[in-house]
Amino acid sequence: MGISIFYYLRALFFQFNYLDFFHIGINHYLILSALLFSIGLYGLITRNNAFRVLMSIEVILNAVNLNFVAFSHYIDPGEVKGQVISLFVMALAAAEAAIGLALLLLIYRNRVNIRMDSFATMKW
Amino acid sequence: MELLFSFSYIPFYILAGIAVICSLGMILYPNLIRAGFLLIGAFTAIAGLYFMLSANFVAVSQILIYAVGIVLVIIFAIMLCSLKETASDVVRDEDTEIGDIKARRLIGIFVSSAFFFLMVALINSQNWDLIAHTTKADQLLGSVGILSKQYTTKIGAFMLSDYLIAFELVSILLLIVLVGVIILSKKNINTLEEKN
Repeated sequence: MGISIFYYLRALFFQFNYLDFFHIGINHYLILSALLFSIGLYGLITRNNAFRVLMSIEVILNAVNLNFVAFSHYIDPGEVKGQVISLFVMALAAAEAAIGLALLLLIYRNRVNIRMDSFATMKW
Repeated sequence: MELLFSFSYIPFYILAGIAVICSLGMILYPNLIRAGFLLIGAFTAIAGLYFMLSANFVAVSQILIYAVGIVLVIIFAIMLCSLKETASDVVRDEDTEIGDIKARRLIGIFVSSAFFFLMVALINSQNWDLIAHTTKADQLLGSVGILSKQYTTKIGAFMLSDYLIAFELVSILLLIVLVGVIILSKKNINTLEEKN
């Protein structure tokens, strides 16, 4: 068990045959996208301001879009399916931002603050 | 062109660093409006990464929709919410006053870092050279201009042939969102019902 964890950690951090520093491949884009996704996830969990939660959701959607475009470029070059899906994700993100901000303005009119814990009345 | 491609790690790391630092600043910066402006930097850096991935149309629409449209809408909403003097905690985050903020931070760090390391392990466990056409992509990268032109025409053709239903659904969704936002952001919704 301990030895397998050791091998796992060694493969995780020192596997340089696939993660070349100077030759940019698909895994660099995937790791960058995972990093942006986890940054957005951290903001989504910890922040108390509703605007900042919305911005974190935007960062998460951008990470997903980066994944789509990287796969479209590296897995099937010459095709545009991933790019088209990323454009659809952009349209959905715009719709989500508009609806979310309108809801936030409405909440701000009813209760004067926009803290996430102040409108947790439905929480059991 | 080969020499140019061999140095393409420099713009990648610069753009990735800008994106990561701006997203972290968006999370951690105390002033909310400046955090919103930091988001422009992150989105623009990601648009540069799209240019590097020879997705020019997606990059330009990223700049148009995200870095200008959504961020400006968010900043205008923040300004609308912080008109009153009593609501200074809209612009300034008051996260430190909450009791369980440390627990939430621990949970957030644990969940996000666990997700990140899991993803890194999964990505590194895959032999991408067998799946990804890296060499083919490198060869195609030499003719970015011609390819991007083809990409833009192909996107238009795809949206009106293969993805037609999704395209129409997105247009219907945007119409619904337009009407819904107008109704939600009226001064008071109850007057509509009282008149009827």
